[in-house]
Amino acid sequence: MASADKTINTDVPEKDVFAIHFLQSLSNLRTQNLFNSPDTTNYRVRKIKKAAYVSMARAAGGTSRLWSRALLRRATKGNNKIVRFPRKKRKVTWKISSKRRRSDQRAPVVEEAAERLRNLVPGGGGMETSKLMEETAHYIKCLSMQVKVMQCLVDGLSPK
Amino acid sequence: MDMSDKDEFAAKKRDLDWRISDSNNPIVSYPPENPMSAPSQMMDESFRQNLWHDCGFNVQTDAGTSFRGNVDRPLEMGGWNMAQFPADSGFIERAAKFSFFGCGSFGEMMMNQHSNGLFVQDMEKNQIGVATGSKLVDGPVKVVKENGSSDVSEDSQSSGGNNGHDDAKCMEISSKVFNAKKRKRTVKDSEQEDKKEKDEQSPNSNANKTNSGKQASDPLKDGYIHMRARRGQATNSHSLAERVRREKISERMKFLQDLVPGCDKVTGKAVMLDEIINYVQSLQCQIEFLSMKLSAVNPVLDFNLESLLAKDSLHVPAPTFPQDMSMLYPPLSHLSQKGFMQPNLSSLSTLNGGLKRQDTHGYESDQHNVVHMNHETSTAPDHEKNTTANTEVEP
Repeated sequence: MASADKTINTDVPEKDVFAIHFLQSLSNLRTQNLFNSPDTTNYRVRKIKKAAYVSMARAAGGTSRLWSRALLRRATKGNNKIVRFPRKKRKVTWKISSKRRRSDQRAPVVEEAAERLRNLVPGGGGMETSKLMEETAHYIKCLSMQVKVMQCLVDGLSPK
Repeated sequence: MDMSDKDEFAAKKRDLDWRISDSNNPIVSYPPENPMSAPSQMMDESFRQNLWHDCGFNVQTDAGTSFRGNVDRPLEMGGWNMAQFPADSGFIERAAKFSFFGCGSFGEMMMNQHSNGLFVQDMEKNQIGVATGSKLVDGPVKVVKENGSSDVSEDSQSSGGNNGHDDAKCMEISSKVFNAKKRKRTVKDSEQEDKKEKDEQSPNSNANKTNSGKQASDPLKDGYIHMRARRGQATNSHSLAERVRREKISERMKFLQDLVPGCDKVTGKAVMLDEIINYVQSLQCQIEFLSMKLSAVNPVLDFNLESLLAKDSLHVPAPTFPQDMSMLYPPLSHLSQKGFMQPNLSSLSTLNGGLKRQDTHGYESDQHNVVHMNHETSTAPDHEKNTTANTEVEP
């Protein structure tokens, strides 16, 4: 189906791109000397998770995807020295609310599921349902790739 | 029943004129009402009644029959009704086209009207200018072939004739119009056609009429998705847009179905969407779980990690870039007595070498930042370890 889909482009880079990004972010974390204090396990976990997501967003396409852009924006809220957000010429984004209002009439079954999806997928709040599904597809691919990378890492690093 | 259809066209046209004359709308390209109104009083009523009640093409009245001959011989100015048709060359040409069912000009004519008559909008209703703004050419959404009309109308001949003459210099609108007219037998639909025509005209003002849809090719040219109303379906502009949208959504859902494992047997949008949502949630939970695991094993890693990553000069020849990291780890895990450092570092170095080759999308600046940070903060690099690690890794 991928070849037949010229319109929906959900190509995802190879696993190694994800791996590189993730490892680099991990090494970044390391320099912060987190791991010397074992009582901050939760903090550590959250940091690693955030690093995973950010590296995934970077690997997946950075600012060229809506969800990754939203993720990165969310992650670097106050201090954006890392990611450049190019000023893309956006179409009328103020019409989103009007779309949403009407979308409740459109196949309410689909729409309530779309609402739940919007909560899950980063950046989903401003997307129309069809665009949301594209982003979800790409997001799923990237997520599975990231999961594979992390699984490999854990397997490699865990003591036998 | 070719005749009746032609009559209906002509009849509707006339009715339009009459109504327009009522509303005093000047119509430039259309014959003035004056010649029509005078002798046609008796015709008016019957036509109007027919059109209002029927609003379809079942005009089988005497008035219709009287037109039959005229439409057949458009160039022969015979009868009173021919007096209605002025010697407007464009009009004659159009009338001539009617007899061929090509009717390209008919749509054109209708589009020239720009009026709100019940009649005008029929033509364009099937062609919706949905400004998607994107280059989405959705396969299933594409214009349904005109041949689909063959089963629509009872007049197999006429539709055959229609298809036959499609190429002949008529815009596909006309054919669509014709088929559309054949489909629309209800008042409701024709009213909806009005609105559609109005919506249709405004976006399609750039004469996209000739090249769209029929060849079923160039949607990117005008940026609109041309959609044809299928048989038995409402042709409101809103509902057509809705259908386009729904088909887009279902196409994407099919795509998602391939992605999410175990969704082949599932039918129905609701269940599918639930599955997708569950899958996304499960993936996110997996990431969280794995990050917890990673935080548990992370203290094992040495600080030489950064130094190795920072080693741009460390050009490890990795001709076949390890596509699968899991393949890399099992052969290296036997080096556990060294503390898992070297295998990881060497793998990282190979990855780093690969990274240098892959100039990814403008994040080089970011990566350089990272790398420079590592340069600054790294401890004294242990080169020997690296070299030994590399030699171990090389297969």
